Amino acid sequence: MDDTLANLVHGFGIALQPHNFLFSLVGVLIGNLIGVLPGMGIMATISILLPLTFGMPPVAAILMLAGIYYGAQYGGAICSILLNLPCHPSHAVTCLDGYPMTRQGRGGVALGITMLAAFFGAAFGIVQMILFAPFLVQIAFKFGPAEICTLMLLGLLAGATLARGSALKGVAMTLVGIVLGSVGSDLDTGTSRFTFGSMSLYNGIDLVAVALGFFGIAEFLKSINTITVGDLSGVKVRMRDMRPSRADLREAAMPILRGTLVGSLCSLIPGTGPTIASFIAYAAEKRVSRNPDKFGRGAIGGVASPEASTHSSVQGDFVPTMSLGIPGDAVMALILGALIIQGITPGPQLMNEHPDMFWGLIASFWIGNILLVLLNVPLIGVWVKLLRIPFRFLYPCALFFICVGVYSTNNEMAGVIQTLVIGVVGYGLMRLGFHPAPVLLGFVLGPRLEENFRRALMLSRGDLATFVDSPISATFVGLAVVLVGAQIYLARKARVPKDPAKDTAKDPDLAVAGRRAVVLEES
Amino acid sequence: MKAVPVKRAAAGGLMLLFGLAVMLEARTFGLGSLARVGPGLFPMIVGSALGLVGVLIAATPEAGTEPEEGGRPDWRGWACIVVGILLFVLLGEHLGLGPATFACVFVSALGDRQGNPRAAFLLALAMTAVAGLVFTLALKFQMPFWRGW
Repeated sequence: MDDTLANLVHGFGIALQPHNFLFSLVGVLIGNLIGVLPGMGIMATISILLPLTFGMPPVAAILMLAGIYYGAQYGGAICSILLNLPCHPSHAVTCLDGYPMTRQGRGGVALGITMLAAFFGAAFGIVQMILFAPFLVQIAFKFGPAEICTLMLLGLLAGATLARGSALKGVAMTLVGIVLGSVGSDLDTGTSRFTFGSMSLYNGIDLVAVALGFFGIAEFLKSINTITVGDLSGVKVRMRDMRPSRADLREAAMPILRGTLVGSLCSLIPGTGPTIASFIAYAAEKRVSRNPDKFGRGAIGGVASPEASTHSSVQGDFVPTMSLGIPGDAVMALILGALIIQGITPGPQLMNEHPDMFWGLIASFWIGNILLVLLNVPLIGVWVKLLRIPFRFLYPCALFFICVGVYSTNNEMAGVIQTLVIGVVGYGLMRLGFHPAPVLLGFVLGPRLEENFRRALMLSRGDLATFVDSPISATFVGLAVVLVGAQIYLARKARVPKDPAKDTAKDPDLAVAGRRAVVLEES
Repeated sequence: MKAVPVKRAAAGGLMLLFGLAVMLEARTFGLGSLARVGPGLFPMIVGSALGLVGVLIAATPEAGTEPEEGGRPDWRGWACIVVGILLFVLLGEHLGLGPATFACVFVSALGDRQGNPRAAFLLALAMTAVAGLVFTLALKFQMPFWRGW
């Protein structure tokens, strides 16, 4: 425990270094801004800025990219509450009670409660990371190639099947991601794979090209001419409107606590990110509430609980990513990819080899969240004005940034063409009902899966039993089998409780929000 | 047995074809042996898994109904986005960052049905100025702003 405290103090020392502090400030500001703007995705933003971070020291780069992720969660709620537009899927449920509150003239209070819930949720998520990650790392140190291999297999399967949409299609997309990740020269032998004689493919497909193809170009192909600007007339939010009354606070306290717990549980299961957490939290809150009739008509609990769960899940998401090297969703895969590009091998050794990075990141979470709360209160007027920027001005600029971002990774146009092809094909796949998030998981983890697969077999002289010999890897294989079995069982029963739209079909309000979240889904 | 819905057949068939193509290509890399895995074995496994999943997708009815993605085709929007990016590539190679930025933003902005050419023109002009000031002057972007004729 003393160790942890000392490490944390050390982390604050790192995060407070002027340039690290500056970059996390820039990160949370950009994130907050992107969160507010309707139609702009977190994935696209992080990938556009990724090339910029190549020249930066790794710690600053990760602090900034992580800041965008959790900063955007603060902005997304503003959009949901004031405009009834679920700009970000993880805030879609917040519309249900947030917007009615706005119409009753209590939008400011809703935002104030959201800030409180967000901060509490985030704080819990960070504490969870501080306590959990070192524990996971101790176990993970016993891992050899066979264990890593089976763990990744389990992580990929969970990410593919528990996330949104059909489980089979999720698996298919993961496999497509692995194939994309294996393009280029083979690490061991130098054999060129899937390059078709192209020099630019020999070095492999860039993470930026895959991410911006699927989450940038494909996303804009989907949302062009579908996003309308909300009606902001009559919405006035000033700083002093945001202060909740004592009664409001009392009403929000328990929902915040419950939402936080739901979020932290969801963050530990790969594939169930903030969006699913927020839906479960809302549904649970409505069930335990003494007057469920108020839900959908501006209940404070309906805002507080999902918001708290989103934020605790966002911070908690970093636990498996940073301690085991297994990202739970697409955003984490992207951040993991950024670490790899910086020359850092993710996995259990990360905490010991790069304590600066790990503890600096945790300290920066505290700093970033405090900054976000402090910034959002006085800046609320600015955000409300930004909500008026129409999407038709945003997406052409974003496309330009995508082109420039991809070009700057290698200073060649071949990357831009690759991104365009991936984007168009990716959008085609989306129209066929495939979701893009597992692609990125497969793309980032695929090469490491293959490497460990080959190494494990080499150590065992070709004996496949190596993957079930040790109790640890046998457990992972067993869990994977259970997971697949459960999916088949659930599919048989034709009731798959993993899609918010389906899961909440009994509740008409939630079902509507669920469908909207799915349509607007970006990750 | 009912006919397989077109969309499901297309989704599954596409994955099957892709998986087969990967397997065909992976055969040429050299499979090696289990003790010394060659560069082709892993893609081979992945490709066959993909083909299998493709068959399963086509064969199993969806649990519940998938929400329709995207809705009606929007050819104008799509064309403008794709052409905008292609113009960025072409003009960036031959004329420089300035013209590439202008063309990319202008053409892609035309894809919006609520916008008008005038607004698109002004937006493109503004972004070109940003490109010049931020990328060329401040960030020393590799591509010259203007390559000359």
